[in-house]
Amino acid sequence: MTCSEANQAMNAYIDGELGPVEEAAVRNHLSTCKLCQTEYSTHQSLKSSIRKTSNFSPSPEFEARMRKSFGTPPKKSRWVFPVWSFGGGAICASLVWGAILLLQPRPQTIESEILTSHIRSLMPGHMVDVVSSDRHTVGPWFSGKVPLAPQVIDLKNQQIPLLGGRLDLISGSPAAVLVYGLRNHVISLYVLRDNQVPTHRSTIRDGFNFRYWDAKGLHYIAVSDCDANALAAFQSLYESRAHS
Amino acid sequence: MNNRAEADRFESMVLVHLGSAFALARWILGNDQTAEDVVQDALVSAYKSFSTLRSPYAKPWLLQIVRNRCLRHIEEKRRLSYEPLDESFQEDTSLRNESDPEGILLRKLDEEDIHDAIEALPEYMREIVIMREFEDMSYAEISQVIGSPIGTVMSRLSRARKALADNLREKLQESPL
Repeated sequence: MTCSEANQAMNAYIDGELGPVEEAAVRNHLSTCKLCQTEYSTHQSLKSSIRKTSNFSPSPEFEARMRKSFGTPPKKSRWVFPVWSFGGGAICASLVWGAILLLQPRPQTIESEILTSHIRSLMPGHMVDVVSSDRHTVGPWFSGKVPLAPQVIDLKNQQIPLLGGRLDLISGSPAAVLVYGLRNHVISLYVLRDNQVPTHRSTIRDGFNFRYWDAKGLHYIAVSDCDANALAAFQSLYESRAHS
Repeated sequence: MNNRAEADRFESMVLVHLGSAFALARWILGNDQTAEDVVQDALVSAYKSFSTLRSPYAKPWLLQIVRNRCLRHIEEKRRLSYEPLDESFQEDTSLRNESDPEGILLRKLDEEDIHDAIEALPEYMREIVIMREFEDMSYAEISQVIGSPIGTVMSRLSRARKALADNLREKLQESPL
């Protein structure tokens, strides 16, 4: 690589926008060229100076006004109180509970959505939005993209390498999906916050195994066509590493 | 959008980016009140067209709406005040193609200097610096927001950084620290 080529690629290099081959070529050139090293330092210095500068932010009043105008309306519960006040507590409670059960999403719904999403991801080009086996790359990639922070665990030493991550919508709510490889199988680990999820720990649907668990206020659902014991072992490893 | 689930989705997918939307509008328009008005206007538009959003990641989509509203505001203001054509969004070809200065001690500059230097950039460069450095958006996402190819993003970013470095070097020379 010449100095001119390195200079042309410098911005994309410091922004992490080069492919692995180009990135390696620039890195190699920088290791031998003092002139370009100076150029690189100047770029990095400028970038870090800008990033340390404070950004504009909306006033709390404006933010509150926008959330009031465009956010979730307050829950309307006024109809409950008159009924309670008339002494029909037990009947009302039964009705409300019945309504809650009826209105609750059936567990099959989220399972079928996740299964569809997982199967779609197995098609070429759909598996991951960020390709990396480095949890320090995959974890921060979700930052600002979904309103939750999944814990990304490295299971490379357990022969379950991280393949990357992707975004998805499950029942209309954003989900982070971590993708792991287990021999010839792919495990999609869905991390959700707002969805109603099944209360059972495992299930099987159309030949795919599911495992469910909660951690730090988030719902985790693993799905794969690997055997049930292997998926249970994956969950066990993931949870133990997450707690360590 | 009249049900609670949709409102929840709008809040978790779009309103979470309110800070980014305001910051971009504020950098483009240079005024808090105008930025608030334009962002509110953009949110109304986003709210109405929310059902057309196909990606689970709404930030580029929202910022694209905000940016378009900002540009429309600038254009209307110019038309009403009979100001001469604002060329800030036209390509600036006056930047010299000399190599970057060596060893600029940029870290010695204070925040105000850097803020001033960013604000002195033409809008078409400034918005890209803001999206890249403050919003940490990829070239592809910025390209989506401004509706131009990635190559345009790269060339504008490169020229913006060059202009910033030149500006800050001048500041250092004027008042050595």
